[in-house]
Amino acid sequence: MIEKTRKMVRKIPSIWILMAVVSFCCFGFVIVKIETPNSYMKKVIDSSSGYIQVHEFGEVKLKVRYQSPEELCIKQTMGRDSEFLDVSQLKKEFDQSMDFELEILLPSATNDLTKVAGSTMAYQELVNYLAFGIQEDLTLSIDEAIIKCDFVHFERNYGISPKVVLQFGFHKKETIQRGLNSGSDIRIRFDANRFNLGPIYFHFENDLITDKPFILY
Amino acid sequence: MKRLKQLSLIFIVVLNLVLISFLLKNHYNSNLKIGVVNVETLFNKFEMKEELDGEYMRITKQSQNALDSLTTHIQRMDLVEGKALNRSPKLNLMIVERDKIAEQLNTIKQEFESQIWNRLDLIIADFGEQNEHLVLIGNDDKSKVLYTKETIDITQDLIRYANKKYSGR
Repeated sequence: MIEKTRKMVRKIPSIWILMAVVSFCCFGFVIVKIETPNSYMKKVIDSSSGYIQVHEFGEVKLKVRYQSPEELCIKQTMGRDSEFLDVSQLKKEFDQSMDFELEILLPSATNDLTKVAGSTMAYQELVNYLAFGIQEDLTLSIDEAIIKCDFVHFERNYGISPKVVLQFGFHKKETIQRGLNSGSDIRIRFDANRFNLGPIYFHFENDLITDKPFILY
Repeated sequence: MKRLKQLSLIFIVVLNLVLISFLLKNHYNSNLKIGVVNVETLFNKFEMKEELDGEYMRITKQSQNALDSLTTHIQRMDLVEGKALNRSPKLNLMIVERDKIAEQLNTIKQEFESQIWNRLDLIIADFGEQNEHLVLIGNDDKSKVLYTKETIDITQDLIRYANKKYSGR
């Protein structure tokens, strides 16, 4: 039987060609799926990748960026010898929550919070709001569930940059995990009443959130 | 033979004329893209309006008890004091408090409406740019548009676009 097969394969060169093409395709598929930290980071900061959602209101721009566990892992391990790091453990830790970055780009005429706030008192109130109060205004909705923000970290820039940046996130509760497993997209809602803008939604596709790329550290 | 040649020539000329007028018509129409929007329908079907209406109802409910209680007390005291020239300070205070709550609710309603219109303005401008409209005309009972063809009524398209943009898609 084996001898018959060998004779048949030798006689028909097209089978060799087909085998070569199939092997090449499999190899190419594997190559495409493997990413390096640099290539992955380039992908996530690309505005067309879906990791960044933007809303513009005149001069003001609000950007929410999803920070995947892989991205956080790369930032943590950058410049360090990966031989001495337990990358899989790090990834597991980062996978316990869904992390996002909110960036509010201010009008070009203002380059620090005091001008937005209008007065020193209001400035302090705004800083307090960004450090603490804003947590109440950030929610995640998946299917019918609405989940409150679990943590916020505001990075003050003391007027050296025309934008406000803060990190916020949600612990991956059972509701969220169930929704993601069933293929549901997620929406981040920011109640921007403090800026008189009303509710603003940022939509993220399920494929993006559940994507598990293979990264060569 | 000569007759055949003449006929084919006439046919070619007529065909070219028809083609040219068709192209000119398309070009003319695409340069004058006008849309009409029923503003009231757009406003009422905008998801942001529905959400903020719900929010406003919630806030109103919270203040309603206080408002009702004050109104009842004021009416009772008005009856007791009759048509006295000077109202008692307590009654005046209640009236001020009631008016303050009513004014707060009114301010919140106006703020919400302003937020909705600000958002709609941006979305409409986006829509017009993307679809290369020259003009978008608002049509409702208060406007002066007397007649529009159904084909240029883009209300439903704009509602779908606005809700899609609002939900972040």
